[in-house]
Amino acid sequence: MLEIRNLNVQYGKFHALFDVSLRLFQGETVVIVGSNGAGKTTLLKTISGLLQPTSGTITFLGARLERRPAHEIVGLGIAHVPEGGRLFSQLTVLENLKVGSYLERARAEFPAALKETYRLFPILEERKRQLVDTLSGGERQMVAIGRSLMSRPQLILLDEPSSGLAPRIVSRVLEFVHQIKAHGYTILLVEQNVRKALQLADRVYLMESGRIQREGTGQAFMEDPYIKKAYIGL
Amino acid sequence: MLELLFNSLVNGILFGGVLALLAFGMNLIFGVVKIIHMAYGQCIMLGMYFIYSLVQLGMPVICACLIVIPILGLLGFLLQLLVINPLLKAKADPLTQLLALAGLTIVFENTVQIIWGADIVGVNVQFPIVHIGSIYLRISNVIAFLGALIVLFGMYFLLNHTYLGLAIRSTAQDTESARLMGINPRLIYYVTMSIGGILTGVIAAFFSPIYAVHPHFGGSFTLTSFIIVVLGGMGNMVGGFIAAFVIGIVTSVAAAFTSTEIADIVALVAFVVVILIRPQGLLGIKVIK
Repeated sequence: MLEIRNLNVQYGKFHALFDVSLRLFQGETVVIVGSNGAGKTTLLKTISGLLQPTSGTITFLGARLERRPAHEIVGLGIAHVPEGGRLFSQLTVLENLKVGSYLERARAEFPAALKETYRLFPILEERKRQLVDTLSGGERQMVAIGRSLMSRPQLILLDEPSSGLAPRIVSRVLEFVHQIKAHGYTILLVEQNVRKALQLADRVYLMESGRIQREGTGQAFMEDPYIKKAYIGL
Repeated sequence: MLELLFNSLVNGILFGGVLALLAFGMNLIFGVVKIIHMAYGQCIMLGMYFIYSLVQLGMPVICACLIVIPILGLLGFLLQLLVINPLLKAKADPLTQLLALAGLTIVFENTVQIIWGADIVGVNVQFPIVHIGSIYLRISNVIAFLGALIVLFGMYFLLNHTYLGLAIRSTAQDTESARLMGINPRLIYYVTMSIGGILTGVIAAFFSPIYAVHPHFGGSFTLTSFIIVVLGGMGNMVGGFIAAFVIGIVTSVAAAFTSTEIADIVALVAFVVVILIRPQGLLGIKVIK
């Protein structure tokens, strides 16, 4: 579904990604693990068009992405949930969800998509008139994920959905990811909480200093002594 | 004495309504494009000259106004294309942006002076003055007030009840997040500057029966709307609306009891006092760094 080949990204003189290659198949949940500054967020931003690579290719369902602007890439069916959700804090929950269906093809399906989002996160229907500023961290993450579903995507990029949340909420947020996975969406998840993320993963990539260092199934990563020592802390 | 106070209050409210529309456009542009439109009042001045010229050519005032409104919308679009886009593309710092737009005011004022000369000119339309009880009302002011409120209501509807309005508000809050929703910020900037241009045209139409125009007419209105925008809290539409009435009433009451020159000073002093107490403006959000 998504194929990335030899991707290089630079911020001015700083080289952030080196020859990154990865692929995702329809219906898979792929997790990227790695420490802070490894380039995970940069990779997601490059896929969604917020950053432009210096070289390499990104192909999604036969279409090349690497020179397209972000607002066109959403239209092709990739939704990006940035770290912290990046909600429109001065808009209500309902308005945030409505912006999610801004795309021409998504507008007609707005009522159906809204129903589906409310079914997934019933609390959002109760809170629909509230400004998102007044929500708790977990609820905000529901809005962020719900908003990304409103564009009717095929692939969802999730950047650290559990960051900055209380440990009790972290499990719930990863439960949301599990729910949308069960709905058949393809997911590319970046997560610091390695142990929990690996339980969700079909396949895992390890990123260090802008390079993909390892690739394997969730199970294999859980048993890998290096991963255990460096990322799970067992 | 009481009569004078009452009259000046009513006129202050009427003036405040027009100021609210005036400041709304500048506020919208600041909120979305993140640029302080220093040539805003000058665009109004230009619009008034266009109306004047069309009327000189024999056109009825109302037709002249209706033609000039879309022309100023086009001017807003061209400013985005020729002035603001290059600044954004070059990632110019705020001072450079401010200087570029301040430079534009000089271009506008001098171009007008070359074409129309430095004399005061005006559209000669006489509206009656009516009096209700002891209150005297200039019909031209009442038309401007009601017209401004209707346009403001239209803008409120546009921003709150359409996808375009939602896209404008989203872009104002978080451009990057808006892009991830499929919104093209470039396009939203063009739309916003065109709306801002249309609003300057509308104000030019309301002003034409009230004021005579000269090349430096716009400067004081740029200043007034900037003051209102800052007083209300930059980017805050409701704050700007309230601040417009505050400035309108303070100016009008002070003018009635002193003179118009003193009134400007009183309004500025009121502004300075508020900003000293609430640096973020009346309804602005405090930014903690």
